[in-house]
Amino acid sequence: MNWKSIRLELGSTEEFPQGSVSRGYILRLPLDDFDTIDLTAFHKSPRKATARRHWSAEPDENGFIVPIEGNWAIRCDGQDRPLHVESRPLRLGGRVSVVDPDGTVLPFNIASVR
Amino acid sequence: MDQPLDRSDVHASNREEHLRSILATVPDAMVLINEMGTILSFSAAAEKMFGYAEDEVVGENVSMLMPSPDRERHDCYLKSYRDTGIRKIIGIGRVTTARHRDGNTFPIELSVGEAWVDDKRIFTGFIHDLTERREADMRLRDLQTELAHVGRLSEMGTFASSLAHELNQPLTAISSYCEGAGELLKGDPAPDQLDMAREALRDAAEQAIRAGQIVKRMRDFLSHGETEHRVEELSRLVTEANALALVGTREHGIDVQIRLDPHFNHVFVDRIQIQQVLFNLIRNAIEAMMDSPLRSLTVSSTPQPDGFITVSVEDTGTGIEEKFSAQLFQPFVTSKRTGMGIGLSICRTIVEAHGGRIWFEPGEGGTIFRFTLPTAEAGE
Repeated sequence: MNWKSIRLELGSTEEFPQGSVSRGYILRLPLDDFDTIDLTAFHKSPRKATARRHWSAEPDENGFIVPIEGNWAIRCDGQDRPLHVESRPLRLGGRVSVVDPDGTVLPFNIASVR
Repeated sequence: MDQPLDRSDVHASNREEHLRSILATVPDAMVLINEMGTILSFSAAAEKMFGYAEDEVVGENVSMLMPSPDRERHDCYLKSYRDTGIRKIIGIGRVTTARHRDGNTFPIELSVGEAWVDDKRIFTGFIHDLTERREADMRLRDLQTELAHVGRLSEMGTFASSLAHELNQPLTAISSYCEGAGELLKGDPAPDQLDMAREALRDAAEQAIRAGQIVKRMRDFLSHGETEHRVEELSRLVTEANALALVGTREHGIDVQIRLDPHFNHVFVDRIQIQQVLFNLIRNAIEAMMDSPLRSLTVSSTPQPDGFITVSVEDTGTGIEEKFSAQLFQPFVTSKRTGMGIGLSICRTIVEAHGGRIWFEPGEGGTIFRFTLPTAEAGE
């Protein structure tokens, strides 16, 4: 089974120099043998690619990961946040970035893949 | 040169050391927060239970350890207590759910204490993980509930024959009155025939009301006449039932999402009975997902215009086989290897006794069970 639950935690930002474990995403994505997104498996069941955003005391946001113009985006509660993974492997200790609606690019650490 | 410690300092230091050693060995997690909800201290047991190191969480809002809806409401709970002083959890304790760093929720028993230190209020939460505890007790409780219901179904058998007889009388009368009225209205009825036909239809309506009363008596009997309907918070019913239903499932990695409409949170129900319905539906959903790679459970609510709230329990399980779907709410119908097949029958009895209805429909890769409950306004 190559569908994985990937937990992202906010990395170092101006507001949170140490990062923040209470701010992040849990993404469900199919990974191939190289730990990159398995496009065949994704297109077979795109609704399996779920996302949940948790942000300290804010309400959780739930949604999906969607392909947009050759890239990926996290679509939660009707709002798209571009997800930059490029072709990097999604492995423990890796990094990705998510662009907030105001254009801020936030770095995230991959805290677990299971 | 350092000042030598006097005896009271030594005594205080020893006491503190003693307290630390006790806290380090207590299996329950201990989380200390200030009155704004900021984490001040996080015990070793808490680190193990939640998967965070103390230095990662100190300074964060304690709501990070909770799933929705408590997560976004906790600041309001604290504010409400600061403003009113009304205790809803302090010194009372409750069963609820917590969220691990990996995103999974697990059932806990939470006790909260309050103290003033240097004119500042602090709260200490003691958290007991219920994941494994009382699993056997719960199975026993399930069985007892099922058996009690079977007992009642058996009584129902006896009751049903007398009921059939009783119900037959008004039904026969309705049929006769309607036939009579039909005869009277044939052709071009005279005015006195019209009066008689009206009277016959009035009598038929009275008999229909009588039949309805008999059915109501049957419903009261089924619900054992012990219901205690009160205004309850739906969020609490769901959180508690969900916590109990998650007992023993941690290793299966169930992803639970609770999405309740915060504007329609009050329902007029018998708390125990509705928690039984939620518990049964959530356990069924969990069992349906055991062979599924995606184990996501969503409990949500939607207000209806008719004074009811629809509660939905959605899973990403294997769905329901066609052959079972027609009789799913009948007693002794089951697709499970174990179980008596009366859980959904109990659910239907309870929901209907509340004036609601229960049904299911296919979801996106699983099943959605829905039932309706009267809102507090409608109930009152």
